[in-house]
Amino acid sequence: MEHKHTQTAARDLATVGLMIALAFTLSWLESLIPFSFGVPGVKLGLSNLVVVTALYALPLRRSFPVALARILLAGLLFGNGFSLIYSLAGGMLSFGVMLLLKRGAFSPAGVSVAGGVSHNLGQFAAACILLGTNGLFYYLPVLLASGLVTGLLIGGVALPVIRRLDRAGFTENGKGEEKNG
Amino acid sequence: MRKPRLCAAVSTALSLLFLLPLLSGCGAERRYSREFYGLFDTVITVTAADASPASFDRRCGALYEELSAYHRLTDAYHTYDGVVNLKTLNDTAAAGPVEVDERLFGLLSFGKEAYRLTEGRVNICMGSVLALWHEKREEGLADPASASLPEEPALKEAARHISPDALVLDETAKTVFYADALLKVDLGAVAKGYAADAAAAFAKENGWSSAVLSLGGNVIAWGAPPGGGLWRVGVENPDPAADQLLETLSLTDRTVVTSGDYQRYYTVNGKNYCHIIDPDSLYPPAYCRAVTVVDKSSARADALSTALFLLPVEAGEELLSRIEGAEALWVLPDGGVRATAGMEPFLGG
Amino acid sequence: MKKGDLVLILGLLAVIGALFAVFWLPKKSGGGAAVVRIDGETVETLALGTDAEKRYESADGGYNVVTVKDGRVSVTAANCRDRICARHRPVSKNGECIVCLPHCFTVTVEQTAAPEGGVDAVA
Repeated sequence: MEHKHTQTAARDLATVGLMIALAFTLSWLESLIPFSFGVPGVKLGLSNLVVVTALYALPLRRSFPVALARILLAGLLFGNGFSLIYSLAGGMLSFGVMLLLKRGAFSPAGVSVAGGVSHNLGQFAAACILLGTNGLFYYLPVLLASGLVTGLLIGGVALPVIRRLDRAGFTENGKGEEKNG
Repeated sequence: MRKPRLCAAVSTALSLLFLLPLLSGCGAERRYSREFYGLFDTVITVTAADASPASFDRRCGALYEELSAYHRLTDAYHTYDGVVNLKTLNDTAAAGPVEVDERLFGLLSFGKEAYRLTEGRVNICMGSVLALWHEKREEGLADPASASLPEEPALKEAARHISPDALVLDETAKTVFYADALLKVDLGAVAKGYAADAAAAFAKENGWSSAVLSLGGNVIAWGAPPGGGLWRVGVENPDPAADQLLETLSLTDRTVVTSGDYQRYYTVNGKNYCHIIDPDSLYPPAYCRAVTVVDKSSARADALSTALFLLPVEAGEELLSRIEGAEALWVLPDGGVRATAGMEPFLGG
Repeated sequence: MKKGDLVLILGLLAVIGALFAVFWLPKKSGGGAAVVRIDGETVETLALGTDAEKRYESADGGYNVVTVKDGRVSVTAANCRDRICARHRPVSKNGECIVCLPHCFTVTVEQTAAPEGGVDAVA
């Protein structure tokens, strides 16, 4: 048992590292694609794929650092001071919402949709606090819609990935139970 | 296992730390705007990032005082007690050297420098010619039916008294002397730009790290607007039938000045005559409808926009190629738009 | 896809649709406000979504008549000397403004729901 415990712990750690690197790479890739809708905050959110997968494949104490690291690294390297605040607000809200919905009657696709929508909602809230609400509400439906669409796309990709991880025995560690302390 | 819990705790704490400024709103400055009248015969608007309405009000007051000083110094129609200004000079500097405030001296020196820089297109000594046009324009606006052009002989005679050599500036004594009794200085092409630079420097020192100031369309912007990004400055469309904004420029730490045929004009027999006069032909030019200059110095931008308006586009591009840091965008008579390559980064707001 | 997913997505779509209806429909060409200022002081804020015609008096017997129609605002009458304000085309986007210098009078479009096209200054 001791041996298996160490093995899984080590595997978790390695997975975390791998996922952070992957998330970072996806963020970088996304920064290369000129994706401009004229509305700030509309983006593909490729790295969300890693966060959603981590949520299912790892215990909370490991998936949270993945989410946080992704935001901090990408924000510090590819953004400016302000974008970091928006990313944090959106990313944290999104993670929290996805964590809550994970146990419910939702598949990873639905969770990802909720994550995408709440991510943009969090950014919107941050913008309201920083900029005041003049004219901002015009953006809200667009932001939520794009969050839904990107969440769906990401979720669609995450679904088969997580299924495979299920089969490989990874997600036993992550189905909401903290097996390893 | 203690470590994972510690990790979770640390990361949660870190993230909360970042969210704190968000929640407390500390350091979050808001955008405030104000408009003033009574200076430079136009409306001045300022939008700045400030901590509170009270603090914004205070700084606006200080800015107004600072700008008032420049307004008084460059006023060509009124004198003010204890101030030697442009009107004083135009009335008395032919009699003997007059000592002036260093700010006015600086502006006059810049004016002479602008003459050299623009190869004579911008001439602050053209006051006698401009006065004739001003008079006719005022008459034409008051009674459009009787609008007329200045008389040719009068223009030609006035043009004999526009040499910048007649404006004698003594750097050490800070005095101004008109070697030509009929010389009249007109600072219209450079005054607002010069004042804008001074006002911006003052405002920065006075605590506005981020603001955009418009002196009747002479725009200067610096710092980052609250919420990030760049300041958005619209370029007015000369075409009255289309939308008001031709282009939107995204920039900061720059100034934007436009010279156009639609800013001050009057109509004679169905034809419009604007306020910018060619020093050679003594009439308004028709090379373009408007030209917008983006530069770091507002005084220079003001001068350049006038100069480029008075030059064919090719000659204008040629002039700019010999100057560092200034970009321009022309609106041609047919409505077409042409811009220097360096304008590219500012376009597409 | 589980049942919960469908419910979630449909619910979100309903919310988003409602938001669009609330914030986009009433704004034909960027509804919001036309702020009338005299001498820098805000005198009145007219909603661009409501057609209106109002006369504003300024110092020395001056007046300007502002008309809001189809989401655009213009000055339709004035007794200033050059009437530049009255000749101005109707405006409707954030930051666009009509100025009557002799009367220290401006009407500026602000707080339109459509922030695109909004500017901080016009050169």
